[in-house]
Amino acid sequence: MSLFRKLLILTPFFLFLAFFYAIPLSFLVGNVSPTDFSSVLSDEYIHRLFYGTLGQALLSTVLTLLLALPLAFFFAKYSFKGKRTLEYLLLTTFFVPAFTVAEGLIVLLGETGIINSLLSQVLGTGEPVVKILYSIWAVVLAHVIYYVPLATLILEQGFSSVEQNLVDAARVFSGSALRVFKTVYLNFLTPYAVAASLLVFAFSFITYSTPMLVGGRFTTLEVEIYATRFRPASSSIALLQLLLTLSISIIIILFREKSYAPSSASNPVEEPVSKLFSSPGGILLAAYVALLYVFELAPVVIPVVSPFLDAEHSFTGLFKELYDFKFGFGLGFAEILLQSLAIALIVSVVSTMLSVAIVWSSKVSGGVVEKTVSILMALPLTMSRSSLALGILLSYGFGVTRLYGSWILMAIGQSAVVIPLAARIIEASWTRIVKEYREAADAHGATAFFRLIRVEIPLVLPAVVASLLMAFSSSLSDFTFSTFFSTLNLMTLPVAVNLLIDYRRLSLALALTSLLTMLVIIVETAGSQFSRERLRLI
Amino acid sequence: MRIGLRMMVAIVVAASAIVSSILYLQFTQPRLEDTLIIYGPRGISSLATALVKEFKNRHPGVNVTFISYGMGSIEIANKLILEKNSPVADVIMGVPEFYAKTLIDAGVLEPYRPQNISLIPAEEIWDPTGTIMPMDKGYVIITYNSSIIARLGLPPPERLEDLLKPEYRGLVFYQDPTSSGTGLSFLVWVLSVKGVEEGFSFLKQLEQSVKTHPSGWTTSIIALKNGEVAVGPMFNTDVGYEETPNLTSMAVEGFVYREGIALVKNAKHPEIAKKFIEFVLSTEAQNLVAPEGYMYPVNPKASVELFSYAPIPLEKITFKRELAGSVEQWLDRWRREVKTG
Amino acid sequence: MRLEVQDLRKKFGGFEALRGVSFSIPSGKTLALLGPSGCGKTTTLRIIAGLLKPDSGRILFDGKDVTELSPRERNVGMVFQSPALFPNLTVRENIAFPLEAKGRSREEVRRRVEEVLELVELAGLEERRPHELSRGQQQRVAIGRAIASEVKLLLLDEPLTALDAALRAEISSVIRVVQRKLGLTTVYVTHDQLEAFAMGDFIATMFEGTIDSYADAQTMYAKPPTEKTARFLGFVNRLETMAEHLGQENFRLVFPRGEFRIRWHGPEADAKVTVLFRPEDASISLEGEGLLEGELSSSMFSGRNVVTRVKTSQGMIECAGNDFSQYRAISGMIGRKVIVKIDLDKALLIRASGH
Repeated sequence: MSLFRKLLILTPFFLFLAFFYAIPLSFLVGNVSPTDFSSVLSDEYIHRLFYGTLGQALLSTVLTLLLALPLAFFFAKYSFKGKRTLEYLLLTTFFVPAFTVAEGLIVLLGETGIINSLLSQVLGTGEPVVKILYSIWAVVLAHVIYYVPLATLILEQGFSSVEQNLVDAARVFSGSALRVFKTVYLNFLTPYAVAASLLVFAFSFITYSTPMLVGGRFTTLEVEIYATRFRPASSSIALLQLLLTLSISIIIILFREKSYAPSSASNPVEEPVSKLFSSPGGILLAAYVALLYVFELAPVVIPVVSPFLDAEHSFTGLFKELYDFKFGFGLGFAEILLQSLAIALIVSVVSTMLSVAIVWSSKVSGGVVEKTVSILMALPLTMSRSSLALGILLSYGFGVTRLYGSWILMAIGQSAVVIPLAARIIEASWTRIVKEYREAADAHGATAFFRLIRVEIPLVLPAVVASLLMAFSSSLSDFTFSTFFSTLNLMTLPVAVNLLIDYRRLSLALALTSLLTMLVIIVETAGSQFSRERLRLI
Repeated sequence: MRIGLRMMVAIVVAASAIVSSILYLQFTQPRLEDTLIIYGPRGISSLATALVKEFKNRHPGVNVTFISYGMGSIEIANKLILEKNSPVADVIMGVPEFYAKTLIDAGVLEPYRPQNISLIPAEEIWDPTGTIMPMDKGYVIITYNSSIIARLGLPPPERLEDLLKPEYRGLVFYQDPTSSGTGLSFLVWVLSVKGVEEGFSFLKQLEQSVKTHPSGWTTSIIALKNGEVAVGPMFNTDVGYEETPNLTSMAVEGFVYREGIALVKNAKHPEIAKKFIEFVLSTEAQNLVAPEGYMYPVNPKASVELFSYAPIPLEKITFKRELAGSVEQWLDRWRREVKTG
Repeated sequence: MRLEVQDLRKKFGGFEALRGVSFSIPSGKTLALLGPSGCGKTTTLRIIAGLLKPDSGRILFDGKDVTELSPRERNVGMVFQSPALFPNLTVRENIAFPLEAKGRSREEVRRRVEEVLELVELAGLEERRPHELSRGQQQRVAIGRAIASEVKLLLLDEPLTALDAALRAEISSVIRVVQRKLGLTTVYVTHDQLEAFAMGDFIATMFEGTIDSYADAQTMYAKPPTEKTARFLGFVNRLETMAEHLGQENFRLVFPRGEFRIRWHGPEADAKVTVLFRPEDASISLEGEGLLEGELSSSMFSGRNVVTRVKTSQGMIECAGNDFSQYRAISGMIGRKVIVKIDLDKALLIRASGH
């Protein structure tokens, strides 16, 4: 195959790179003057922001890992009916919109929130006792809640990869549980623990909606870019953030390539859960798991059910008020809902189609090309979204096209971050199409196109549907690009929620959040029926 | 090669969903062809809309649109600067006095002196370069919730200095200047009176008394209504607002916020733009200022009956011209030293 | 269609998989390509199919060079080890696949599929999906798919390997029926000798990337051309001795305990020879005539026969017999001296220094 043809096949991939990343980022970089950049680098305020961002990311990582370890052990070791459901339930905190959990925290930890009301009744004081909301601690807490499920799943794989015969041998030869842990478990677990830590750190570093909603005076680099987005200094800050997050991405990719090998080792034999209660350690573990579930799920459940339990308003009354609320200049709830759904629809279809094309082109090329594409596609997963948003603003909003105020900017941003995820899901499924199907097709006269339509696409169709649904819910929940690009005429549901919180209409905000969260849960659950690959983020 | 029926249906459904989504979204965007385009901050949306309507009545067949994109006055001005090389707007309204120099220096405005300027008294014309014409003005004063203040047995606040007093600790608010025009006016007021350095140390000290920085007018009213705050700057016409009936002021000193209207350089429709500016200074147009907002007309013939209840401050502080051109830096500084400091 | 393979070479990285493979098959005949795992037979097959390009060498269909053509253009049918049926398609659609891929009309496709279903005896199961079929049925569909579009060459890659004994018989008969009816030139790849002999008109043995021997099935069985092939085909016993020329083609082979007269197309003089023979041609006894003697080392009942191994001065000799009554007795004789009788009429004689 000639070089030209090889390059032609990769067109979808090149298009994706150029349109969604190369152009916006080059506009961003081009907008940075060396003096601006060096003054940003030496700015004490920026240093403060950096250390703050770094600090909360480290804290979030450590706490998340610590909390997730026992839970992962529990899942790896014990089997019981409904385990799948339980695992799935845990995952909800990961894929519901971040602001759902944030609002749950506001309701729980606010000055007149649930915990403080309870405590002041019990302790008889008038003052609120727990004051961690609107600070760095609230941000860390929120992160822990989002990421414990992810870390648990990864660590669980780690525990499962430990070969049972090694554990038995260690037990026989060395005895104490601590020794066993050190010699056997630690060795196997380490790559998974590192993988989980890297991911949690990266996500915490680029946190955006959480500090905005519950950070109070604490703010991060990512938020600063948004706050200063119409001012020239923002490009320098964005460039800095871009470089930082790209480095993190590269470290993650290198780690994945070098040491993380999903093992095909046999699973250790799982014990029935009844054994859990036969020892004091086991009972402790069971109690821990139960508490952790309450901790994780409360911030999700509360926003979803609170409109229905609101003492002051009937729930139909609430939704009617929501419907009548004047959000912007002539923008009502109906328009916002329709705009959000329309954008989500466009983003999901376009992203999925482009992802299929990219995966197909990389699979057809094979070899080094396939590897390179896979690596490049992994970079955006933990890259700064604010920086990309700013790039899009500069390139498509005010630059090569004048689209500011148009929904297209939101669609571009959301698609840019969804496509790598969708490609992951589809790629995992495509790999499993046994080589022999392709050979059988080719040997019997199929052209590449015929094979694609009759064999390959039908076989990856479930994954395609899964990524379609994932893209849809991702777009609905998007906070970054929505806040960057919304105007009086253009607003999506998450921005509307933010507005309601700003306007102190918490009960309305909760009602809207409840709606949105339920919608996302339904879409995600449907999606997971088609593919388990959603979480293969490593 | 056959495409099954099910696949056909799926493709048709998907395609029509996409197409209708795109059409719907495009439909919600303001249309920009063959239109006189006027930029301005969201704060003057109702006034602008009324002016546009009246202007269209007088010039049938002319398409006019006011666009704010939900932006504030600084942001929409910055957008104008960004579009310098191929301007979208023909006219910009609501240019704050303290941001004028930035716009003029950026070279995005075309000086235009309408005939109707003869209707405006000389003291209202604040741009010496003659590029920006005055449009309307307002008074930012220290307001307070009289029932809360009385209940707490506190004296009513009169001046900026009073805000620092320990008895008002936790009761004070002022709007976030990065998102609110009123907040920005307050900031400019402080700096005009005290100078930049002293002004910022004043604000830093003031933070100890400040309960919250609402993002704008609506959120200020909400905070006042809830009793979350009791003392802070608002426009004089907000006094006695139906949602906050106890809002009042001693009106001892206040800041005169002035804004203007200007012609955009290389505008696509300069002739109609000039007509529009003429119109805005006319008595008929100026008569719409009071009913449609919280500011006063600059044309003395226009009616201000509606505002007879509002107290005019005894001492009027205007923007110190020497400070011009630094608003961006102040906003950055405020954000860093005051908000998150 | 006559198939010719000329000097195929293929390297994977540093590994030389094919080192000059050449053979040909007359039209309508079957070649069984026999060899151990990893010898390159599947690679050869895939190159013939067009799924792989050789580094050098040519493939000729009826004298026409097809080396540069895609699989589509070669018009071959292929049956894989695992049926590789498309799971999303029904039996009918699987069989129809090659026809639709080549753009045949609806009518033609329908007609042809009916014919094929008859041929492989799957009528009535058209609407099933692969996972609803038994292994044997799946393999039938695979065969049907391979021949659906009137191919000239049928390629089979160890189609019976994953099947149990009963199924093997069934499927191999289906293959033979199809071949005979359609007169297809066939290449049949396998590592199992029994299969090779059952299915092939011609047999080619392949070791480490080259063809070692090529002969028709009978010749290959009785008189494998090379020692390597002979050993692979079961001539595991090996003795070295002198062949005394008695005149014309008569020779006398001398052994420690006896001699054997044999007819051999050998040189006109005494020669040192290597004698290869099958275990089936050797047996043990406690006394009497025999060419060798040695110590009984082990005995094993392998179902079909009793295999004993005797340690002689010439090395280990394996004997296979089916006198089961002897088995018990023999087991008790491990370590004792026994006599080995060998019928060398079916043995292979090879001159010591080469062929």
